[in-house]
Amino acid sequence: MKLKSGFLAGALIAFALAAPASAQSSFPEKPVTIIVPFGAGGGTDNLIRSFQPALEKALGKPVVIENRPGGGSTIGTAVAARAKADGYTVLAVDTAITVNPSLYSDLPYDTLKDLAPVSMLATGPVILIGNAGVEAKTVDDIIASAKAAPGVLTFASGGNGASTHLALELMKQVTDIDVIHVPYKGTGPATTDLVGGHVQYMFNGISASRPHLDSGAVIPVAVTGDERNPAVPDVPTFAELGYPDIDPMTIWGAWVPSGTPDDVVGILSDAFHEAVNDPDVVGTLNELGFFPVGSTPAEYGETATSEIAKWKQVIDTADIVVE
Amino acid sequence: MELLQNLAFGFGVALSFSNILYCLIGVTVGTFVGVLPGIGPMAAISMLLPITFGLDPVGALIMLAGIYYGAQFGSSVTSILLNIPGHAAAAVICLDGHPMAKQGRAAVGLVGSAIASFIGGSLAIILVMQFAPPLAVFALRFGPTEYFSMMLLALLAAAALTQGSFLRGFGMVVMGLIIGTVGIDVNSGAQRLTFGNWNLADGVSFVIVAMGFFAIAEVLSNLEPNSKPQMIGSDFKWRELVPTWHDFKQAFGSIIRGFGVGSLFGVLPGSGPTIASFVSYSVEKKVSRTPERFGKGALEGVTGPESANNAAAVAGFIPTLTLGVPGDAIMALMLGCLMIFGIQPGPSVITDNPELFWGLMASMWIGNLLLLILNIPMVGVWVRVLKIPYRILFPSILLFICIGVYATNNNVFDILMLAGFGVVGYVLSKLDCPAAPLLLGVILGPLIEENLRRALLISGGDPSVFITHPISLGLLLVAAAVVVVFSYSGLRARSNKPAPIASPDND
Repeated sequence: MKLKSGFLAGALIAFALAAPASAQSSFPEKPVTIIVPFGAGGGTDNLIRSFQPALEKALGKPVVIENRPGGGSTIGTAVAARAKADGYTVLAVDTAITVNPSLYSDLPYDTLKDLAPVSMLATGPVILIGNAGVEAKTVDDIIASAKAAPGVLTFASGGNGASTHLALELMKQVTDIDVIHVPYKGTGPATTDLVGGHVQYMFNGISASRPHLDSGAVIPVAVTGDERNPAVPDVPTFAELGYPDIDPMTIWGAWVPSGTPDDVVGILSDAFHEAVNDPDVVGTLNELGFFPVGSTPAEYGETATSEIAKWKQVIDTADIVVE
Repeated sequence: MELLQNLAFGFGVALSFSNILYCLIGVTVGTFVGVLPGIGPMAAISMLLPITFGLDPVGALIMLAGIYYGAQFGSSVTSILLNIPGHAAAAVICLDGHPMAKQGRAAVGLVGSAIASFIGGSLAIILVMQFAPPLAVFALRFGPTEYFSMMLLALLAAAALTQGSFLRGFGMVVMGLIIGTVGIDVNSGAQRLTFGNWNLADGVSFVIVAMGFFAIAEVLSNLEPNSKPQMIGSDFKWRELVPTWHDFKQAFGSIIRGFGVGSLFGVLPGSGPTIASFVSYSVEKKVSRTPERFGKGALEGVTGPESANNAAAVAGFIPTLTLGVPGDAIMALMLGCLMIFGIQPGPSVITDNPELFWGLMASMWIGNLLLLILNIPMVGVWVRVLKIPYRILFPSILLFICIGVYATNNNVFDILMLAGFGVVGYVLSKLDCPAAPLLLGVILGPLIEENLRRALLISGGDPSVFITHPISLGLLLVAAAVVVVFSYSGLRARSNKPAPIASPDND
């Protein structure tokens, strides 16, 4: 009898100990919310929605996408950073997460302390395009023209401190040229003025540039990335033209509030890996000019740390001030 | 006639059973979205976008377009009946539409606005069909320099929006310009007037200001102990729906002028229906022989802007479809939708995807007709809305506005801001300060500043670009002419009337 109750107690203790572990390994038990700190229909939103069905399949639970736009992604990111660290709130964000720490002095969160990396989702090279009427149509010609007449060529961007602006600053620093930066409220109106010939060049996403490249309204100059992009196979890379340091990439990644249990992060990371490498998703992403990744949390953490350092240097050198 | 052939082809596409159904769904959803204050077409389209991925591209676009112009159509209903704009572009409809309702002429206002929308939209469709490519090329010639001159001209038109005291109107424009500067400055990245609050970093949404100043302020004023009892809408008769010959004569010219203004602003990316409706109102007041009727229930003050905002909504498809250059955020969403279907917008869209282009154009006409058919019988229903006791009606309105404002950004701060603007708007309306000039300041201020600085940045700081660019020069000359005409008529009015005291707003 004593033995029996001892066994029972032991079993109960073992069960009690095992219970939380099994609860966690059965994650997720309810829908997972992905916070997108940009508006619906934007680049990050489209990317996440493109693999949402595959992610739901991998997790076995519905995935809810919540758009929390504003403040250059800072508002939505702050919401995610303050969420309960149980894995049911995930942040999906682009390069802004690694740029903002150097851009803003008073972020409402501490990127690496309040958030933990889950997975790098995809990378997107950017393309330098020019109005069809420009005289300098290659990287070398642009540099030569800018050196001959400093402060004359005009480059549009999606805003002060936007990725399309930072790409330009990186190019200016690598090639030591002086051109006029013309910021717009988003790449949309900037592209309009590029097509209209009111500005001469801009860095832009590949998928957004495609219609204008196809219609001949703008010309491609060069793309970033280690190899030519399957979406625009005829366009040379900066690296093959001899400028390997002009390498800005848009990197999309997923984060959770720090303190989220490691096994939950692992389950999420595996699910993201599976989702972005789903054959249908890969096809869609390549069509948009993106490369799917799906890394481990540690790999993404390393990339994020080095990206933060890289953009800090570019931003400090260019003296871009955003209060 | 090539146009007729194309039209026949387009109607062949649009008149298929499924496409008529998509069109009907679109305009019905659009009407309701328009009627519900605060929920604009933007929110509705972004919510419905994922559903359309299962449709064929033509059907999807027909439905989304239906929501877009259906919302322009429906948003005037609450402006007229309750002084609460369904969404931003309809704010100006409140100015004369609501006084009409107070005089028991709600039905005339509603029917007038429905017919004006239909005519403005239909004429714009013909314009798009016949002249889309050359108009798109013309629109591209508008750069920062041209936009600056054009927006300056539009701001001068604000002078016509002021009623009574010039000083009050001017003060409200300035306050609007100040609200417009809130947020991160595009050029320097500096945060202006945000008081360190990240929620203000993107500036103050025009929708929130418009809802606060019109809708919340209206609800507040109805809470006053001695507020007027419910009296309108009780004596509705179907015969009132038939416009009199007098009404027709009054409205016809304004509809045609509204179409002109609307098409111009619609074709140009970055301006859109809201500015078009404001400018149209100013034009109507200026050309009227009896401008003193405006603000007190002038039918032209409803039909002109109504025609303009629907024409602008249709004309907005020109740059979007033929250049791949979206005119506003909603058009950008539709463009994204097209690209998901693998359709590359651009000059070739008409030749490569004729069923899409002509089918959409024909469907818009069908949609506008459906709206007219749906809405005329609905007028009786809408007017009866006024019979709902205020103690039920107003809390429901507040609820819908809050949902709408929250749904745009999923941000509670926006609701607090709405409440703040509501209180300010109420106090200012008690002081007889007109809201319309402030709203125009909020829209135009950032556009003027941005384009001025951008134009100077590109020219290397040389201001002569504004007079060396021919389009810009033309616009500035018109602006100068407007100033001269204003001051001349102002002087004449002063010499005729000995005491130009501020006429208190009847509103």
